[in-house]
Amino acid sequence: MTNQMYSKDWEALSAYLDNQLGAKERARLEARLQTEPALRGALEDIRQTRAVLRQAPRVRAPRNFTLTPEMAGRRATRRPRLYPAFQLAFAVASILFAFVVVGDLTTTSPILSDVSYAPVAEQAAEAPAEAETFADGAASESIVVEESAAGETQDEAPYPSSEEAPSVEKAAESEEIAGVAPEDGAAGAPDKVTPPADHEMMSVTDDGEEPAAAEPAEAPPAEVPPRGDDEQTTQSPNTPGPPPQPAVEESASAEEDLEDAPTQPTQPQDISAEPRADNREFFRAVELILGILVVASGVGTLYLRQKAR
Amino acid sequence: MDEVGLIQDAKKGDLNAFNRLVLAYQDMSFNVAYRLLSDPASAEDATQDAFIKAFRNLHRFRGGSFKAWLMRIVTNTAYDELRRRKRRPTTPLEPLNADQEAIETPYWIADPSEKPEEAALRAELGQAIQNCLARLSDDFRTVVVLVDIQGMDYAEAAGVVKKPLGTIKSRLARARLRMRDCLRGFGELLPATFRLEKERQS
Repeated sequence: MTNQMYSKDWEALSAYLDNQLGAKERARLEARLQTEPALRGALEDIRQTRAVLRQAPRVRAPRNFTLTPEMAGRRATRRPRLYPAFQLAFAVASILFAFVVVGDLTTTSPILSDVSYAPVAEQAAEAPAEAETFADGAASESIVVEESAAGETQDEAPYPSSEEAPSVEKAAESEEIAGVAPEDGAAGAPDKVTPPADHEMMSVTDDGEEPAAAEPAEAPPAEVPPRGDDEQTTQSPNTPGPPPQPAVEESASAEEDLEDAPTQPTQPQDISAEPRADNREFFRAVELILGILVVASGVGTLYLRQKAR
Repeated sequence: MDEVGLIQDAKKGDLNAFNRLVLAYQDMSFNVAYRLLSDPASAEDATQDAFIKAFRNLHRFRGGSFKAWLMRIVTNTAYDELRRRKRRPTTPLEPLNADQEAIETPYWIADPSEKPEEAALRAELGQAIQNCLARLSDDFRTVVVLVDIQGMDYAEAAGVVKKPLGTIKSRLARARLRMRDCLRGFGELLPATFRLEKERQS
């Protein structure tokens, strides 16, 4: 028999060849194979066909199909050309901003550490609040905030105020992680630096009260870490993402303790702040400019990214 | 690094890790795509698209056979092209022209131990097989390509096309029957070693 019509037998033989028959079925088929030559012939047909197919040469990939970053991350649309420029501007501005802030902190004396809260506070309050939607801004902001926290917690310890010390230290522990020391400073030094601080914060918050002024500064860093988690593909390190958040909630209670203390730290500022005023003002001006650059480049980056989607 | 490690890294967004997977699977992927589509250019597009889709959908891979998961994407991508062709048939499906000569140059992998004449014969065989595959229906062709050409077992093939084992069994049997008849038609074109016996001793 040369032309085999399709039949149940053919299917059974095909499966038998591939060891896909159950034990009972196999036994039955093997018994029939002994006695039915046509069945044997059909089996041999399938075996040969399969053998020929297995001889088919393998086709080599004509080129490498590895993905470029463009293929991997983006949809069909391309990013606008300006996007990398904005990204770079944002990165550079953020780094410079961080450097200046650190420089500001380290060049001012420990006694005036509270004063240094103010520029950090206003930048931290202003930039994070506006950078709420800036995924890329999250990482550098939390880096900035953490650095200022690191500087401040050291400075807080020797502080003479008895009322404030326990709550400050309690806040300091969680703040080291959360980097929310700026609220402490925001609550701590509104008197001396009230005009710019309140001005900055009022533009951000609904009410200009001291405790409330501290809270918006607290809230943005809490928002910042989750945003930082969203972006993983291209941008700067997002490592400070999750940890700050729970610590932020912890420090909220510590925050309330500080509400009574705000006036005290301002006293020494009145006495000895003036000689360093020029220095601070210079730093503050630079920080302000850089902060604006950070925000502007962040806005531009985000806008271009949204546009590309 | 083993495949599992590469996959885990790739899932986190490590493109380099994914590209190493690409290099490991691109021959197989292109093979399947080419056998399904019979056209190298379409197969290239389908293969590239499949890898892009795979990377973007890695979060959906939850373990098991990565090969089967990837081949599923490749076959689905090839199916998309097949459906597109049916709506707008422009690409010739026959890889051989009227003189039974190959139109495109196949990208056969050269076996270094093979003599040139053997390689030439194998190339002819490849064309004949491709010609016969092209005449099958999409479903039958897929099963034959996965099982007999790619060497998957029934379970793996069932995982790729997401059909029950019984369906794989019957589709494969039918496809083999048709391939047998088609290859016999080539008869003299096939070298003796490959030729299927026309006369069967009953």
